[in-house]
Amino acid sequence: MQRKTKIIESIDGEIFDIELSEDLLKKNKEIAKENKKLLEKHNILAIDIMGAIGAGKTTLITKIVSILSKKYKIAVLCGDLTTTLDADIIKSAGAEVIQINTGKECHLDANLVRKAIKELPLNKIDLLIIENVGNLICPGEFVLGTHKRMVVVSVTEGPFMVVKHPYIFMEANIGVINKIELKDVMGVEPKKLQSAMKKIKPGIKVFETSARKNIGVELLATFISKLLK
Amino acid sequence: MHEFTIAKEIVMHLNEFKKRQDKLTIIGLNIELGEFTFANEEQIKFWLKELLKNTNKTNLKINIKRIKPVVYCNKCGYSGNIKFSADPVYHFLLPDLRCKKCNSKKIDLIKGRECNLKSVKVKKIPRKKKGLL
Repeated sequence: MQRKTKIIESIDGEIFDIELSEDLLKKNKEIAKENKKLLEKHNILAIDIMGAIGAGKTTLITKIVSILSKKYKIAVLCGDLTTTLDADIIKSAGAEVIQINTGKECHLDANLVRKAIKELPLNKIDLLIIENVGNLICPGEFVLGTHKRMVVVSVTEGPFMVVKHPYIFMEANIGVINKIELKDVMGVEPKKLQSAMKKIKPGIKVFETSARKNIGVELLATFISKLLK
Repeated sequence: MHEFTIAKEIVMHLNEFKKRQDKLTIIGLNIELGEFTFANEEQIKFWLKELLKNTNKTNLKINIKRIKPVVYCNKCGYSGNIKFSADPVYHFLLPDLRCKKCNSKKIDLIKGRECNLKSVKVKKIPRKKKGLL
């Protein structure tokens, strides 16, 4: 005769923990991985450019595009809550541009980027630049599937921009201190901003630029072109 | 604002859990938040309470555990914690993102970016009350 199998189970009213281990940002990370895979399949280098509103991201991108578009095919995704102002400016420099309007979201996410990538002629692109929404907090959390992340600050944001927003620099591979032609007027020492960035992220590569006056942009563009090889 | 997104995601997982486990009632949550995660503990709790206020889960005990950073050094193979320095400019201990052993900058962060719904604390519903939340 077969003996009845004993069953141990929770009793009525018993309290216990059940493991879920759900990554709450998993969906974004998964889509970002897919984006990266798709870009790599087409041999595209992608850079996510983050920074506050008015840091000079758009002007800097326009200048980078002007320099690099002589040799490489470039596409730019512009993230903003609304308008196509940035996209219109960058387009004139010779890049394929798509505007992503987030509506009310303070950052781009991997899903929005995936949608935009689908609209691009990927087999005709070498470099994808993504201009994130102007914000120094939320974009850091949401990876997009890019190979490098750049943070742009400007001297007009004051001498404490880096120390006040340390976390975004932990995410960055490249730091840019822009508008250096205004350093004396603003009483800001770019070297101090640079050492603050390096203290937070020891491996960060930092450039001092003035996108408007074409200072240091060539160096930055050369650095990016070396990544493309 | 992404604390709201995180809270919404948690509520979605709770609803899915409830569909799978109708004999259990959720009485608490254990969340893991890495120290390098861009999310504020208080705001997550606030949004969770807001999202759950018209349900029977208003007394949910929310426990958030902070996860310390752990790195892997691509140069010497060290895996472990990092150093922090007390710089008065920052109102927190500033992490030193270099290998503690060989000082290399080529490190990968393997812990410290968590944003997980680790587990739920549940209570088995007495048989006569089964079917109710």
